[in-house]
This record gives sequence, structure tokens and C-alpha cells, in this order.
Amino acid sequence: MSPNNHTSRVSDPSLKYELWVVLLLCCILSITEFGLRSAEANLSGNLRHVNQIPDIASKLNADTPAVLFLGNSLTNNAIDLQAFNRPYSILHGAAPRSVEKITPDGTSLSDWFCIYRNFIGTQQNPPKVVIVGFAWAQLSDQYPVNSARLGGLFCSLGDVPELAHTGLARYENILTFTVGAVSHVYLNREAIRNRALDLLIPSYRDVSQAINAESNQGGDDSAAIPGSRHYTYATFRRFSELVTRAGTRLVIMAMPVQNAYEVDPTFLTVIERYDVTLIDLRHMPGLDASQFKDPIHLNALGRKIFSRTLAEILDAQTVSRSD
Amino acid sequence: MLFNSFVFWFFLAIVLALYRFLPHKYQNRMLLVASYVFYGYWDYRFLSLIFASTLIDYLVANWIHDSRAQSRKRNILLVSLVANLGLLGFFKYYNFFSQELAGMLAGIGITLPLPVLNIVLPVGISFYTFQTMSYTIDVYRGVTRPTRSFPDFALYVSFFPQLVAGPIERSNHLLPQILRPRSATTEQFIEGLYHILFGLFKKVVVADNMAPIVNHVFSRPVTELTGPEIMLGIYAFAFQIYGDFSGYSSIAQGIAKWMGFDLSWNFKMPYLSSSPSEFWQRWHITLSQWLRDYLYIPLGGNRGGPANTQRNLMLTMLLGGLWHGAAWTFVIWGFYHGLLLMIYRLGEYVGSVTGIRQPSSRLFRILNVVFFFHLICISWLLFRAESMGQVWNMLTTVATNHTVTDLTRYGFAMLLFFVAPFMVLEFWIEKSGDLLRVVNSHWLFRSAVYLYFAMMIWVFPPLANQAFIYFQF
Repeated sequence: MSPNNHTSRVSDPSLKYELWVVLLLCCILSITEFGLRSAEANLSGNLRHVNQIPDIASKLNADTPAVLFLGNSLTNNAIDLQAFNRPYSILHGAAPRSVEKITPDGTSLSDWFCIYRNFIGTQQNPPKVVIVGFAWAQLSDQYPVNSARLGGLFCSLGDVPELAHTGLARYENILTFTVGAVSHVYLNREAIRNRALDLLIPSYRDVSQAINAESNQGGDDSAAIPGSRHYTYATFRRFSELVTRAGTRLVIMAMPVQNAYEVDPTFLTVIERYDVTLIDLRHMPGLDASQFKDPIHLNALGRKIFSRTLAEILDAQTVSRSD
Repeated sequence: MLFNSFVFWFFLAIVLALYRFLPHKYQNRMLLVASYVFYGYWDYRFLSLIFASTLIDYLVANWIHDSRAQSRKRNILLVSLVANLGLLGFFKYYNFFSQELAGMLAGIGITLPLPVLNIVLPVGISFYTFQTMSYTIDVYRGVTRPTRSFPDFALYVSFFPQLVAGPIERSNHLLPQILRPRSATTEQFIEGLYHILFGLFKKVVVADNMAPIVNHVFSRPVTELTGPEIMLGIYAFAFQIYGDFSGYSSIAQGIAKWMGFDLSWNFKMPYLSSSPSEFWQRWHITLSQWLRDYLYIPLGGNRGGPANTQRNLMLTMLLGGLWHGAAWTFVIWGFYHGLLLMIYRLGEYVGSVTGIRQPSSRLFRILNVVFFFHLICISWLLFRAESMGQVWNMLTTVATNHTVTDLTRYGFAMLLFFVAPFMVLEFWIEKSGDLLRVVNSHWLFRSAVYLYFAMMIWVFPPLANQAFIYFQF
């Protein structure tokens, strides 16, 4: 048909039927939303872990003194709680009654700030030691934030002013934060998408990861190369004040990854002014490429080596304090 | 503000709420302010440019109308053309032409150190300069009367739904709508809802999901690619650019409908075309009509015999290619389309002289459409590639390397998942001859289609937001 012969008139403009359409749409979307909320934890191991955060917080509160590892998959893949516990208890006698990790994937300081503020810091007995694992510029204000995740999982509206120095300060991110808080379908779209496409698309995981790695320049935040950008740490200051105000000791670990990175000299200046211990584990003895399962995550053997060595280092720094 | 951003929809909600309760005169003023806020959100520095272009053409049009002598009218019109083309030429083409000139002179031993400027291309400049030029030209031709209201004219230039990527609206279509009182009817609400949902689907679901595949293929050295991978990249780009651009136009149409405005159709299922002339009646319709009315016809159109017609077609397509960007690949893209037009016209002429007719069977029509789609895909290779060397190497690899890889299987499955339903819908619309077939179907069916759009938009956007391709023009 010639494009000049196409018609374009609404033949039956009935507001009644259009409102039925909109209503039906809203109903089905709402049902989907509620259905997803009830099955959310089954979407991924990461979401299961996120759902466990309140229980972990309660355990830390009940089994004091406690040690908390806070971080993302870097820390999760580096810490073997069993391997960390045994040498630690041998070395100290007064072992912590509870050692837990809260390490949701892809998170950074903005997420950890909200997790601590809303789940851990509200408990009567905060942990004695909080150990945060990071790499690159994950502790800077400039590290990209996932606004929907912040709004949907970890933060409340009251946290937004606290994160004003981060990327959350932009209008688009605040709106995305709000949408993430309201719609868990939107919040979990990445998990849903990956699940569905993994079933339907051949080689989905491998090819997607390759494409993403290429567009993200290796999976790390390559923009976070100290010296190439100016970083600020207002959020980290607030975080360290939050953690240490009840006497908790804050330890920061620079994590080992296969591609070397620098620790921002500005950050070193910031932590000097606060009661924060930095342990540089980027070149941990005993770790080489064979202990990594990918460019940034340790494998099972690497995890054991890292955990034991970390316990010895902490012991040498007499981090642990008896009650 | 991108149309697929939350901040835009928040902005639109405020604009629509204000619009609903304001009388006509203040509606226009409010829309003008909103349009400038919208444009300034991209980069406030370029507000002065659009204002200057608006002011010049407002004054020029009224001077032309008030002048009696034709020669004087022509001279005043030249002011508008020089100003608009000068703006466009400086911001878009200065570096390209200065580098080419320096290169050419260096080739004959002359060193001319022309400065290379760090020029940021103002978003939408190609669109609004063409829109305002059409206004002054139409006033000169007596086709349209100029408006004496500067704010209303400024709104015609800067109307935010179509400001940064069209449709390019003629003054005799959009300006009367601005000047008369309007309110959105039920019909316009219904149609607007369809355009917005469909537009977001085309942009967020179709175009943005193709973008990572396209970038992945075109950023790698050709030696690392196989023929099927390159074909995948080309097909993916064909749907990326179509979804991106037609999605934007649809959203613009829908938003305008909700305010009682009728914007022009810019796309009518172009990939179902079977010839270049049909393609240009379906793809970026407002640009091709602009080029026809202000370039092709003034050059002589088809009035000077076959040779002049072919020349005029080629010149129009060359300049059309250059409009898209300051690079030789765009010029060659335009040349390629001009060549296609010429060849098909020649074929029609031969057919008319010899009496040989194309088979009228449905199968032949389908094959014709598929064949022509692949001719268009070659043009998209020219459009997307970074150099002619890359084009040549890719075409050679397609012809010689037929290895199917994981990427190929992945990519074609993604095309099937994201693009196939879209093309089925387009085919169904085309077959019905009704551009609003979805709107005019049973409300339950319409609900199912909208639900599909909504779920895909909400759940299946890609992992990173992609910019609109046509913003670079």
C-alpha cells in the first residue's frame, strides 16, 4: 500500500473504553508488583542475601562482641568466615561471638552507609569492629550510585540529604530512587531480565559479560583512577562518624585484584583525621593469579589464604578489644 | 532531558497540569517558558542561539511581508538563510571543512594552519534551523502569513516535544495550532497514549537493546569479526536507528496530542518499502518533504528532463547526507541513496518503454521488500562506520567469512526477542492500511498490546541508558 493512502483517525473515541484499558493495565501491573515482592528472594542469591540483612543485624546485636564485614562481591569472595574465625580465636582467646558479612553485589559506600544507618546502627549492641573492603574509588563521593537499589533496598528518604555529595544529588537519580522504593519490578528488572534472557538467548551470560566488560572497560570503575580525577570523601566522613560514634572500630581494607590500582592520596589524608585503620591488602603475600576466578574475585583457595592472613594482620594491629 | 528519563516525565506532569488550567494566551506563554527550560536543561549556553535564530527569522518574515519589491523581499530572505545556514555551518561543519581544506592544500604543498575549534554541537540545531528557514521561505513565497506575535512564533520554533529531533513542522501546519485556542479531545488523549507507549517501546526496548550489540561489533577491529557477526551488527543498527528515531517522533506526537496539537507523522513502516522513492515517503518524512520543497523543486525537480532530474535527485541526497553529519561517510551515504533513486528511476523508465512489468504476486512483493531492506542496510553500514576503510573491510568479510559464533547466535536471538514482535506489529498495521490500527482495535486487544509495551519498557530496558542517536544532528 502506498504510504500516502494510510488512514490515521481514531474511529471510536470512547473515553470509557480507554479508561478500562488504563485500569486493566494498572491492575495487572499491580498484581505483578505484589507477586514479585512475595517471590523476590528467589530471583537471585544476592536478593536472598539482601533479605537476610535484618536477621544478620539481629544476630550481631544478640551475639556480642561481634565483627561485621561490609562490602560487595569483592569482600564476599575474599572472606571465608570459618577460615577467619579459627586463627582469630586461636590468636586471641577472647574470640568474637559473631562474625558476619553483609556484602550485596555491586554495592559501594552509599549502599553501605544506608545499610549501617538503617539496619546495624539502630541496634542496641553495634559490632565491636566493622571491616569494609573496597577497591578503586568505591569510597569516594564520585563513585556511581545505583539510585533504584538505594531507594528500594537500603535507604529511606531521610538518607538522601546524607548522600547529597554523591551522584544521588541529581534530580534524575532522586526520582529513580523514589521509583525504586515504590516499584520492586523496576528495582529488580536487571535480575528479571537476566533470568529471562538467560533462558531464551544462547550464550547470554558469556556474551553479555563480554559486551559489558568492554563498555565498562574491564568491569571496574576505570574512571576511578586517582590522579586522573579529583575525588572527595564527604560521604565517607559521615560514614566513619556514624560507625565510630558508639565505640565501634572501623577498619578499611584495600582489596587485592588482578589489575593494579592506586589508593587515592586524598583518601589517605582524610582517614588520618579519623579513627580509621587502613590495611593495604592489594599485594597480599601468598596470593597470585591462580587464586583468582576472574580479574577481581578470589576463588575458594584464595579466600582461605586471604581470610587467615587478614586475621593475623588484624591480630598484629590489636584491633580486637575485649569487653 | 531525555524522553525516557524520569525527570522529563516529572517535568511533563507539571507542564500538563499547568496547561490544563491556563487560558489559551497563558498556555502559549507557559509552553514557551517550558520549552526554554527543556532546552536549557541540555545546555543553558545554547539558549542564546535559539533565541537569536528566532529573533532574526521573526523580524525577517515580517519585513518580507511588509516589503513590496520582490528584489527587496529576496534580499531580506537572504539574511535569514545566511544567518541560519551560518549558524549551522559554524557549529556543525567548521572543523570538518577546515580540516579537509588544510589537508587538500597540504597535498599541493601549501601549509595553512587553520585553527581547530573545540565546538560543542547545540542539540537540535539541524532541526530548528530548518524549521525556521521553512517559515521565512514560505512567507517569501506567500504560502504563509507571518505572525506578529513574537512569543507565539518563538513557541513555534522551540516547541519542546519536537525541538531537538523533529518532526520538522511547517509553519502552515503548526503555527495555526499555536495561534488558535485548543484543548485536548478524547480522541487526542487516546491517540496520544498509544504514541507515547509505542514510542517508549521503540526507543527503550528495541533501540536501546540493539545499541550494545552495535557498539560491540563496530568498535572491534574488522579482523576480529566474522561475516555473520558483521551482518548482525548491521541489522542491529538498522533497528537501533529506526527504533531510536521513530520512537522519539512517536513520543513527540503523543505528548503534543495530549496538549491538543497535531504533529506530522515522521515514519510509516519504512522497512516495508520496496523502492527508494517509497522509502523516502516513509522514513523521516518531514525531512524528505523539506528537501523536496526547498531544495529538489527549486533546483528544477523533474521538470528539466531525465538528466536534470537525476542531477537534482543526486544533489538533494548529497546535501541530505551532509545534513546528518560532518563526515565523508554521511556524504557517501547520501550519494548511495541518490544512486539508488537514480537506478530505480531508470528501471521504471526502462519498464515503461519496454512494457516489462514487475510481477504482482505477493511473493515477489515480499522478496522485493526483503531485497530493498538489505540495500538500506548497506546504507546503514555507511552511516554507522567510522571510515570507508571499515566499510570496505566489513563488506569483504561478509562476503568471505561465514563462521557462526556465540556472538552471532546471541545477537540473532536478541533480534528475534526484541525486534521480531515489533516488526510483526508493523506488518499488521501496514496490511490494515490504518496507522492507528491498535487504537481502533477491541479494547481488550489494545490492553494486551499496551501491557506488552509497558512490561517490556519497565522490565527490559538495557543495563545502561542510551542517548538518542539523532541528537547528534
